[in-house]
Amino acid sequence: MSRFNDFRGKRIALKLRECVKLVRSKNAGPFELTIDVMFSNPTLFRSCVKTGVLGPQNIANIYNIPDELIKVFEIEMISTIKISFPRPISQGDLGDADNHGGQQYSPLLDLEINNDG
Amino acid sequence: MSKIKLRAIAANGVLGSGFRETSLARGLELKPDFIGCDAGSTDPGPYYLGSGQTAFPRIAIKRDLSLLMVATRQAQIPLIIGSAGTAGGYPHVESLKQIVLEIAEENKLSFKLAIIQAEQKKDQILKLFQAGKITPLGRKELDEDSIKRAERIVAMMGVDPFIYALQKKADIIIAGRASDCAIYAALPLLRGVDPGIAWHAAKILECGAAAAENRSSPDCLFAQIEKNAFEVEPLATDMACTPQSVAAHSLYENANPFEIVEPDGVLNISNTKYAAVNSRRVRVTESIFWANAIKNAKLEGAVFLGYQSVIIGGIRDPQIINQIDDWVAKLKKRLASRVHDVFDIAQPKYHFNISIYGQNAVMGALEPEKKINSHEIGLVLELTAESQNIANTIIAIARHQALHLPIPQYSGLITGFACRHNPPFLERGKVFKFIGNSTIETPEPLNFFPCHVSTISEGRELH
Repeated sequence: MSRFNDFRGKRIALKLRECVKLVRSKNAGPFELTIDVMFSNPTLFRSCVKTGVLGPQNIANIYNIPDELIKVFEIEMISTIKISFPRPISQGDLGDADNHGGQQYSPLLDLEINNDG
Repeated sequence: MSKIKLRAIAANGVLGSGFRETSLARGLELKPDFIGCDAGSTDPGPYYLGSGQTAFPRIAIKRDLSLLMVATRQAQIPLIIGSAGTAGGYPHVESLKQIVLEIAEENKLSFKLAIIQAEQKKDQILKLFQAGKITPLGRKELDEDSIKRAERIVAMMGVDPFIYALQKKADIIIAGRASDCAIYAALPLLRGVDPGIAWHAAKILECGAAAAENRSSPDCLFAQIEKNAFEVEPLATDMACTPQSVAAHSLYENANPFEIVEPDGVLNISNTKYAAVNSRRVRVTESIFWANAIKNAKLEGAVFLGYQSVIIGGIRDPQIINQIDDWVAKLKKRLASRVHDVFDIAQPKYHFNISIYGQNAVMGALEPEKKINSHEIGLVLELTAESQNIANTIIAIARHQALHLPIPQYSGLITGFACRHNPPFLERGKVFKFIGNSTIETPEPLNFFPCHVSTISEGRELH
């Protein structure tokens, strides 16, 4: 039975945080942020890829940045989606409050992952 | 004849973060050809590059380094260390060299020491920038002004200076700012390993046991390298590498997981194959390296921004929290007006930043949550000015303004801000920022990264 079905076989949406073994963000150098979303299994990964919930458009809306600045990579072998975009303030510059970029993934945790497939 | 070209140990991801002595001992039984360790990164922030300080405590660096120096001298194999002292400039290399000499004296060690510098002369960089030899990268572009204003500029070396030092028979190599991978790729390349394999093995080694699935603490990673394949396993027997954990490691701190940009070229791992050799060891094949026609080096520089003073405090009154944006705007306005009155003709330049924990301090402009959902908020007031005295003076004015800032709901004198400390402000000293991203062409890498080899006899340097 798919994790997307409840005990009566009805489809339910899962939150992203329930679908992953790890979500993390980090600086990729002082000027870029990168987020790794590592899914618990290939089915969840493929559903997420298919529905585009972590696609550039949706990420742009969440973080309020232009979508052309967002790069999204799908890494099938490890069921991982990687998202990279420029930092609004470079690491350590006046006003930067997350020197390592470690807490920038948090708004993704409650995204709903629907099984449209 | 064995297909194995060489065996390598990575002590850990950064010198001073620690590793288990049992892991190192186990690694030595496997007859390694060298031990490497990275000692720096931009990750700790621009302060270290600007100030010349090292991020990890000296005592922690000395603990790791003495174990590695004693082990490699006993085994008679090279110890290769890159990005000395966090940022890899002159003062950083010098401070690590002093630790090396101290350890050599205490343990009566004698060896050939190679010191490779990575700090660049500003006038030289400026000339090359004007000649178009420096390519700005990304959105935050490098300009002439930031080169002129930079406190320090380093370039990130590739393998050539390491190979040169190894050819000079150096036993211990202490390099300034270097690609983490170059530390580990140099000897394999010198031994004729395929570049795709040499660079990918280096990429996995550079963070030590981070490529293991269950790294419980920083520790050593072991690699056995053939001409067209390599195998990795953690030296702690309670950790394991799996095909997934090794593949996943290429994601870390990298914007693009398939192409890893190095001074010497680009490592492409789109078609790499990972296979389990046993429950702890992984075999990697089919990685590709595209060599650059002209080698280049990433430039890193830090610009001095000023001296900073900080006040930490909080607000609990819901009526003030409800209008916090107006409260902040009013505070900034009142501060400007008081500074204007107090300083008279010698008006200082200052930068005043307020972060509100409970609203959007952690994410700033990236925060999608617009509502405050907390019964209290934390405030950090940061004041940056050209001297510590001016920063202290202005933040002291800001404290008094914040303390009694009126809101329309109350008449009479209020105290609307809870100061955490007494005295209320903390001196943060000098603050820096990174200059724009760029790469410089280094057709003759040794001209940019000079290598000096000397003989050390029980801690004394003989020339």
